[in-house]
Amino acid sequence: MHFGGVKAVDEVDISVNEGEIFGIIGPNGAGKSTFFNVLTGFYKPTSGNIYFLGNEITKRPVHEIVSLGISRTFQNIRLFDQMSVLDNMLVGMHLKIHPKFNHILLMNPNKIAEESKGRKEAKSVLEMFNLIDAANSVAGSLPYGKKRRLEIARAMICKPKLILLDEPSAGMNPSETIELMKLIIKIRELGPTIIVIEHNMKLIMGISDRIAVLNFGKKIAEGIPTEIKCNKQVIEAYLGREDDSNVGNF
Amino acid sequence: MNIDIKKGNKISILVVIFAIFLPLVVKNEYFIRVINVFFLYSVVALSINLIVGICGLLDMGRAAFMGLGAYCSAILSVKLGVPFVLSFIIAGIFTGLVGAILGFLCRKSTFDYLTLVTIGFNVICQVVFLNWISLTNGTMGIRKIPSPNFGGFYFDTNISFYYFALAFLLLCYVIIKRICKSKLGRAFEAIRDDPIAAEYAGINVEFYKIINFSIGSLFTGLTGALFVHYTQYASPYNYTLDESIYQLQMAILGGLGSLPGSLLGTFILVALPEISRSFYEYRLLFVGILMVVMMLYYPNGLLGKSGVGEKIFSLREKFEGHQKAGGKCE
Repeated sequence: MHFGGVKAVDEVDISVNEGEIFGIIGPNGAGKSTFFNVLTGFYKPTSGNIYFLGNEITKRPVHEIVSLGISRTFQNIRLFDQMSVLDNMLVGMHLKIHPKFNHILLMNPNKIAEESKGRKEAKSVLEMFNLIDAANSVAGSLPYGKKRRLEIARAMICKPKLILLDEPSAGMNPSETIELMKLIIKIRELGPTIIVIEHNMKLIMGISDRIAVLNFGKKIAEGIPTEIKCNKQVIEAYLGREDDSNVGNF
Repeated sequence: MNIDIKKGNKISILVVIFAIFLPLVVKNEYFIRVINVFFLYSVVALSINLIVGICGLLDMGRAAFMGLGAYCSAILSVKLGVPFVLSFIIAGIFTGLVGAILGFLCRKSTFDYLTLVTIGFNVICQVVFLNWISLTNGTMGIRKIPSPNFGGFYFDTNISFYYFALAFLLLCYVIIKRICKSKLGRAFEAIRDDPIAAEYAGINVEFYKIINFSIGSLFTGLTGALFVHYTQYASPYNYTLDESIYQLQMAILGGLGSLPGSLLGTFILVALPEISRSFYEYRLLFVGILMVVMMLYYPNGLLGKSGVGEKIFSLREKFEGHQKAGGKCE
């Protein structure tokens, strides 16, 4: 993915297996979020192809790619701040609720079957994520941790096959991070493949099946966590050369 | 939560009953005429609320769409003899289509550029109304537009039009309210709050913006048509940028996102110029000052969040001794 002269993502070739938790790490500016943006169709790649479940999705618009079963969260939490928590979830179900147009016009909104089905589903997911008490609160008024949980809940509600988490632990303290780890593992049990971008080494090493490391737009390593921990290039990328004193701290 | 909904409904029913009986009690023709104008502008404010308040598309050229609906219906009924019911409906559809086309052309425009386009479009329409003389009679306007009628019955008195306009307002209000509470309305609000997140929720943002603009314009066009059938005269000087801003303020004053707020804001801005003739001359100055004051103290409008409506609501609660977590006015 080239922006003018800057190669933000340079020939990054990654294959993710169904059902695994795949981590992506790398220093700031390595191209990780750009990678997600290209993957989901937000940017059209300047070269290369993207395949999902065997189908090419390279130049499709975002909403189409989402309908194929890919969901994502964002580094800076993106919620619908002026809408209620429940409505945020219902928007997440946009692709699954199909009210008939004449029903919208002619029937009392509370009685439309598709709507009540949707609400029930939304409420049960909120319960699963421990957010049911806040269902009628305005999303913008939630504390940070709940906002993050809501964003993940919203991404999960339409049962995606692949979910991309972009630095989910940003801004969290250690105990919140542990809760997040548990949450991600719980999500995995629900079925989707997960790709996580993270800076928190404990988190990523703790949950990933495999990890890829990006630096300056290029993939510099890929493998299971224990391999990555000891990879010289990875350590150099984070700590710079000729400084072996911190090797053990990973 | 349940109790609130029922109370809200009770108030609505009372207001409607009040509106039905009003002209039987108050016989002042001038007063009825003002209320008729209020009914019509309310629908415009509701359509602005749908576009600006619910979907976040800042349209500062609404008056152009009123003009489109007005001239479409006027030309059809006066020059082509099309019966009112048909010309009225076609005017609405025509304006909705123009809205769709404009929406399509601006589908990739960001917030600010869309506003500039709507302003430009307003000016273009005005120039067209003034200069396409063969179609619009230019500065002379179109006269002798028939009053609303169907089946031989003419709504040509202030009182008969009152009921026609009231029915029109109620119908539009209910339809817009239902749209807002549906999946469509949620998609619009999502686009307003975060278009990127909306896209990632599977919403085709470009498509929904076009739909929103089109539906809003449909209502604006119908109202524009109704106006000229009421006054029986279409003038090209009624669809200026000043008018657009005045109409925008009707929706903002009451609270964007609040449908009752649109009615309140419209009422204040329609009634005030009638109460004071000199106010009419200074109305733009007043609106300008009002905008600044509202942004400082009630940024969400009178009936929006933290507005006057909420203050009254919470005062009442304190009086009744209830404790409630997080009050939100709708």
